[in-house]
Amino acid sequence: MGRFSFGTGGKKRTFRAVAGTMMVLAAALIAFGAADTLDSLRSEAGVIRTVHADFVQEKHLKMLAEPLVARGEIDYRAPDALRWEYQSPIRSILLTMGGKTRRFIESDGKLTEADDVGFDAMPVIMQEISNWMRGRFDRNPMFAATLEPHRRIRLVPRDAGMARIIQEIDLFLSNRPGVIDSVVIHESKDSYTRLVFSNTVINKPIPDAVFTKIQ
Amino acid sequence: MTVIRRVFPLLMMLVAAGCAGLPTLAPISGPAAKRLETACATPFVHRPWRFLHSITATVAGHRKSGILGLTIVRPENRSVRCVVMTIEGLVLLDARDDGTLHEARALPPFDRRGFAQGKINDIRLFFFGPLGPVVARGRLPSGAQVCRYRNPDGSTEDVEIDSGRRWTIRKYDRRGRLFRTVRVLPPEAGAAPTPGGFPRRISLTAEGRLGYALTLELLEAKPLAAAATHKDTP
Repeated sequence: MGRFSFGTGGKKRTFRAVAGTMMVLAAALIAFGAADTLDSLRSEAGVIRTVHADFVQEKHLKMLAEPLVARGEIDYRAPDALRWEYQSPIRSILLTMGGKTRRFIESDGKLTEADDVGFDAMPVIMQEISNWMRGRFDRNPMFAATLEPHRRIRLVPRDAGMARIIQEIDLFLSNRPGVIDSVVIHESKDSYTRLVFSNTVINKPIPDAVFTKIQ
Repeated sequence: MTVIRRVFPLLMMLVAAGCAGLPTLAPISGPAAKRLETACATPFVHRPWRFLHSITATVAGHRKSGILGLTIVRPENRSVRCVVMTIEGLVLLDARDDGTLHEARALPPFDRRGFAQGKINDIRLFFFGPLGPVVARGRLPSGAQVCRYRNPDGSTEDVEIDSGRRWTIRKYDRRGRLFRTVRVLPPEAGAAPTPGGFPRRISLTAEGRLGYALTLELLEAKPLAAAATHKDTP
């Protein structure tokens, strides 16, 4: 894991939870084939060079009659380029390439660069995405992965402190080889986030501008 | 008696100093005062609502954005439920206050002692009218009109409405020191009206050594059923 600074104790866990969430959401794009073991996932993962997908994010809370919905797009290019864009209910763009990360948040009708928010998480995220791209779930220091029936990958926090923040993450693989259908992040019995991916495109060239310009 | 004569001016100076923070109002009376009191009630909710805001916080010169605030307010019992989360949906704080504070979840640094209660108190300042009665109605040198309320805890709240019908709330402690200011910020040009006519952007400034500033941008506003139900409840 790269060197970076963050708070001590509980703040570290919060940071890691945010980093872990972002990492899983980004890495969920990774296309997996009809693998039936984590080892075979590793061998299939090597052919993925780029991924683009649309997503709909639903935030489910027990207190709500209906979920909060966010929409966006995500692009990834191996080994370390990521564009993670929310288009609604607020526009937010995370750009990372070549070790440089920038985040833009919409405020008062225009995108303004944030001077923090997850910055410290990015080296961790990129390193983990690189591991996931190579199918190395067992190398993930935050989560233990198991391949479950019905094409589900179950991720459970390795650390008890992290488990109080995120209980479990489920990745649901599509029947279409190379596509992830959805990700569900369970925080508690009363709260979970579900991302559904669509229009996934694999290995289509993605220019640098996608990862460097907010457009 | 001599002692009283010597001490009395000092006492008056102390009293004046304590009230020094409250701006002087040119009194408004009669029908105009009644109209003003009605206008002073308009910034606040009068039925249950659910709001979603994008929040930008400035603390010690550092600006933090990308946080969402989900709030359910019920004026009938002044109950508040607030959930603070990242854009990615990770819940950082989940707390409600129906007369008693309950923290369902609080991640550092939101688990700091007093943080949840302070946030709920700020929400009450935005959305609920003052607890106390009107003790003065008047005009500021700027021309803005003010309703002044004295709360049971000794604090004073001024609800100020300017000529553009934009409102500001200032809250003073029992010594007359300003410690909270809430302002409606001008909407961006061409912005559509919001449900319920709530301001699209408001700011809160917390004065003092541990001061901070929040800017809230309204993303969603939804009226709720008058009776509390299992869903959409605080």
